[in-house]
Amino acid sequence: MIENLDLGMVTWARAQFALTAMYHWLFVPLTLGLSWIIAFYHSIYVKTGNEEWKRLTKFWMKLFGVNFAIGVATGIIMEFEFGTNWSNYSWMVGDIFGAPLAIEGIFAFFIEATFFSVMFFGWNRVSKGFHLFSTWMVAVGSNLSAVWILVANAWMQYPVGQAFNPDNARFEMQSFTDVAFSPYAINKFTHATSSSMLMGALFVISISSYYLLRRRHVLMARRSIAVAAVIGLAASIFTIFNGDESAYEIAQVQPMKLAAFEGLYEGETNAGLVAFGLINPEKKVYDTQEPFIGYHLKIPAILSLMANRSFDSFVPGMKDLVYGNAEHNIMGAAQKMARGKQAVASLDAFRQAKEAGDEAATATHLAAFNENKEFLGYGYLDRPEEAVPPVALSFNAFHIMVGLGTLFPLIFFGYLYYSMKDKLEEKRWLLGFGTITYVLGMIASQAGWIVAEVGRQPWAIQDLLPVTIARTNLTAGTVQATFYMFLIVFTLLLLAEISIMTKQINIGPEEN
Amino acid sequence: MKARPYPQENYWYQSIFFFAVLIFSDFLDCLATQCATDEQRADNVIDQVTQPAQGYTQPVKGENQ
Repeated sequence: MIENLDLGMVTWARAQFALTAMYHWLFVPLTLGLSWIIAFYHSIYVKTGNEEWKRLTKFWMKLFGVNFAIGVATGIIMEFEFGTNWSNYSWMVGDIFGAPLAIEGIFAFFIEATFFSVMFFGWNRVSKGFHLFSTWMVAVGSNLSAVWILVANAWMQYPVGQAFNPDNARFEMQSFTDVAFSPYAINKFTHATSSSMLMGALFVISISSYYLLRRRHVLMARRSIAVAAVIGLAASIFTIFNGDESAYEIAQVQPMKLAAFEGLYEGETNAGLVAFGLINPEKKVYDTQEPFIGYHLKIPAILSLMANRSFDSFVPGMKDLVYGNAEHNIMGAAQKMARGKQAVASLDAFRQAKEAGDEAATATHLAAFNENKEFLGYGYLDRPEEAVPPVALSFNAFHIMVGLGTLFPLIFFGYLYYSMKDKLEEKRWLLGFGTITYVLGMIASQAGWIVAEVGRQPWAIQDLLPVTIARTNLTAGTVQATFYMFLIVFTLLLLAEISIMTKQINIGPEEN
Repeated sequence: MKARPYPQENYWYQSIFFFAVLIFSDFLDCLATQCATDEQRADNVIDQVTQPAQGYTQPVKGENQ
């Protein structure tokens, strides 16, 4: 398969950004989720005055600190990559994208950094109340900084509150509240933070299960699990509900993405959700091959319910979205391309008329551009089939995420049930499985971002800017060289993190 | 046996070193280095976003609707 890949500049730039984002996301959910769990542990210590809870809190804080430091290092690099590999994009969306990123920087560096130091070094140096407040503020600050990154990402998926300025080729912000409080952004935030809380709980359960299996630090492990199982159960159920809400939002604003998740080539009424199936990776939107290899199981009408909140509604397939469907009043990518090409041509004509000082022609071409500007991105596609994202990858990532996401509440329930019955240590099969649950959580979490980002291809900004135009005018070789450099450096950072974490886990909490 | 304290400081230095390498290695804003002013940057981007229009003929209104 690899010989069929177009390894041009755009592919390498996307690969580099994906590499950075995926490494970054190894650390972020743990920072976001574990911060809340530590705040609960710390609160119980302050409430009870029991030194065992203090010891426990300090232990998880230590692991949190290691993860936090390396997470920040990988995150900053992503922002630099906008300038190096995506300079057209940076220019075009700087007015909109810059604001959330700047606010994120303020929250990240001021709130988090200030309270982070008090949380770590404040034991016996500040009052118990202020120390606890600082621990909570680290959790609040981390999650608030995530809000703004997710707002920026949500805007790329659903570009509201903007207007394109043809004078300077920039998307300019018209309404900050539309950008910050778009339903897409709210869903993205709730889904990312609740799933991160779930990840924090899985991390605690994995390490605590390891201790229980080894019969080390038994009291600390039991207490850690009791709190993490409650938080994890609540977070995992909430994640399923807001995941469903995200699917509804995607169906409204990115129907192609939803169709790719489900391998839905032909639109259906009472559309079923694929519970099990092997997608055919060779299938193209224009051919007659079967979408699935062998048997596949669909739960009737559930996809219609997810997409439109109605069992008997029509869910468009990829063919409807590429070639149009008059019966359901769906404009296809082919028609949108014609409008998009008119928008691009009008933009060019507008520019030439303006340079020539022809005011009448300038106004005419501007009016023509405004008539078609919502399809601008389609003007850069060569074929309507280019509007289809990689289906097999989107389908597989979506089903891995959903499958594992359904399993997690059961795991947390099992831990909670046996903890309450005081039989957890007897259930060694559960503890054995529990030690690997963090890895499963990480797979689900990474799959979630593949779903979000691969599913929106070919767009950098949905319908308005394809990745081929968003790029910098660089050679593939330049990006390829830095890709390998990042791969080596990030791998070394990850190995350093794993090494430090493993040794800290082997040392365990400080002795009383 | 009491666990040996782990010299984590060495790893912190390594992390900072990697971070410094990344920051100073290759992070240029390509558009900023190619163009001196905002006008030049705008022209540069508009050149690229209107390139597909070269040779394109505007259809008669309604032709592709």
